[in-house]
Amino acid sequence: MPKTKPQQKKEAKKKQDKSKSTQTSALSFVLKNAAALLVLALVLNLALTRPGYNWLWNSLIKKNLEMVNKNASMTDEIKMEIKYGLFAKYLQHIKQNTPENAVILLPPENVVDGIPEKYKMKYLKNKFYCTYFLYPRQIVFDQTKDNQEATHVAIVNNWGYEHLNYPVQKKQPLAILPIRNQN
Amino acid sequence: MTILALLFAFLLGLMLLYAFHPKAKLMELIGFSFPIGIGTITLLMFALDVLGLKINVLNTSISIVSACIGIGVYVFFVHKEQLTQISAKRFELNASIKDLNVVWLGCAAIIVFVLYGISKKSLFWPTFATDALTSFNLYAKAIAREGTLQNSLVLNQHVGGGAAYPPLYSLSLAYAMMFGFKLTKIIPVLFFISLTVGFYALVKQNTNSTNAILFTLVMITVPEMLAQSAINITSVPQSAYGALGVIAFFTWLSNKENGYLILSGVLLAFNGWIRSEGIVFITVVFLLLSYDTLKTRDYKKLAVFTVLSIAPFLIWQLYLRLNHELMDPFLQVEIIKMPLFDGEKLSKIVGISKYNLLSETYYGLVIYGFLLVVVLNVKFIIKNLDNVGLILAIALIIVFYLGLINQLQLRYDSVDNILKYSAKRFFFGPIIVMCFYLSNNALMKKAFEYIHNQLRYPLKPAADS
Repeated sequence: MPKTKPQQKKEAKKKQDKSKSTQTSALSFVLKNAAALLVLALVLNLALTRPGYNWLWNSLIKKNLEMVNKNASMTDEIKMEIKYGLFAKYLQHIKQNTPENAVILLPPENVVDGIPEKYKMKYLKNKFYCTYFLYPRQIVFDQTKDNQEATHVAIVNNWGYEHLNYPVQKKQPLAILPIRNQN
Repeated sequence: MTILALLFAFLLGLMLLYAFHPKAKLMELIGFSFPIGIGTITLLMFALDVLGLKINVLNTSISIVSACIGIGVYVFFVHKEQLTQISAKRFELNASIKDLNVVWLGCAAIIVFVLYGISKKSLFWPTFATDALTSFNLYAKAIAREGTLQNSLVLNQHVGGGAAYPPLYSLSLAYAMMFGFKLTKIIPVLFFISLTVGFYALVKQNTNSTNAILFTLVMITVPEMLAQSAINITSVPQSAYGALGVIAFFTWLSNKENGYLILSGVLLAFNGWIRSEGIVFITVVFLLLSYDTLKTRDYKKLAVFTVLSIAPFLIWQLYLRLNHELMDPFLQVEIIKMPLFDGEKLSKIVGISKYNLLSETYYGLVIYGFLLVVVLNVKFIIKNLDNVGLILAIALIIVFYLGLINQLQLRYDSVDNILKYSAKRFFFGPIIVMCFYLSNNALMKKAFEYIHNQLRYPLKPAADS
């Protein structure tokens, strides 16, 4: 049935009202969300004035990200050296130059104590740290107490040459050498 | 191979979660699949070892696939009808998208950035932390290579005290190593991401998306916890299991959907399978459930929950007992069974713990926010007993922790050192639960209901006022 003129007018007005209402609601949605975003930004900025959150955002996240991005190609060996200095470098050297079934004789505490602190060689006194770097190789600190017979000696600060059963011409302060001459 | 290992863990967790919690929402499936999956895998690896089989790629894969098939068959027959409902509608994806607003998007963007930043840092550096290096990671190397918990490092005592910890963490690192991960820090990264998503999912279940995203942001930006999440130690994963177990329990209390109670039991079980102190969380939830059982008289539920949540903890204690000659040297503490009332020691424990708890550099403003919100809610607490159980749970967790420290007799360390350097990590769990209270109290719920409705896109303008 065709609609009468007043009916058509009424429907058009309804449509107009609906569109107006949608526009108002959409505007109100945008305004409310903008205000909420502003409040959120303000709260987050205020939080950043507190020491814990400031450290978290600027140091823990941003500075670390910058550092990681800058050093993306850095090898794990170098990263370990950054943290554990000469100790890491020396143990990596031992690892590369001994077979997996090697038993390595490490120096006594007094030898390690004679090395300046900056080289971070104090970790050589800790069997857990040494094992972490050298596993599956085994370590011994004292041939008389430990049951295992060492196959290699970790030469540290010129200590250890006395355990070799062959003479060494060119002695170096840090080295890893087999106890028995393999030639 | 490496991706396959992660998929295995995720798939096993997903299937298990679906088996006991078929009404789980999408975010719950995403958030809890990995922690449940990897926890279950470590139980399977432990079972292999106890049965005298080698923990290696082949045996572990066979046990995972067998578990998946078993769970699959169970799901197919028991939840057949619900399986057909897996669709966007089931996960309420459409409704979720309509729930988004500018606060949600802003917070989500920051959360993603923070997770990206901390994950990148974590994956960049090899394992450095002393405990990880001398215990968990080292122990994992030997497990992965020699295929047993009682390996050469344990026999020669060349591994730290972490060898006597419940083995979830060391076994999960060993799992990553066996499947070819050069660096095992993918494990703590996945734990922290799971904590974030799981926390959001549970808070959203209790409140709304705007509230949930904001307090998820508050939770993940607890400074010390975020920093510790990037190193390879047990504290953050254990707090995640423990705290989410507590939150899942309160979710069950409010909606009585059994899936959440079992989820709580499973998470608490793994919390006791990663650190023995997890017994604190198990005890607190057990006490609250017992109180609820007095009213409902549903003793079967209490029994199932208790057995489920405490079993792994007891299994590990039994293992330590049965192998005491081998494992005793690794125990760093002894628990004195008779209650100690040394005033000086107690006041030192309370003093340093108070200092730690109030430290903004450790926990940000969470504790201050919590105290303020409790005060503001006094009217609702007195009138409607609003969240009294939750406040009590937080208080009990802290008190039990302090009691535990009081009863410790340390073999190689002093209580002072524990309080100064380790105790700050004990409070991550209660801090996460406090964040849940911040979101879930009567006042905040009302406020966020209003805010959330105001910020929603007006789909039906005429009716949406």
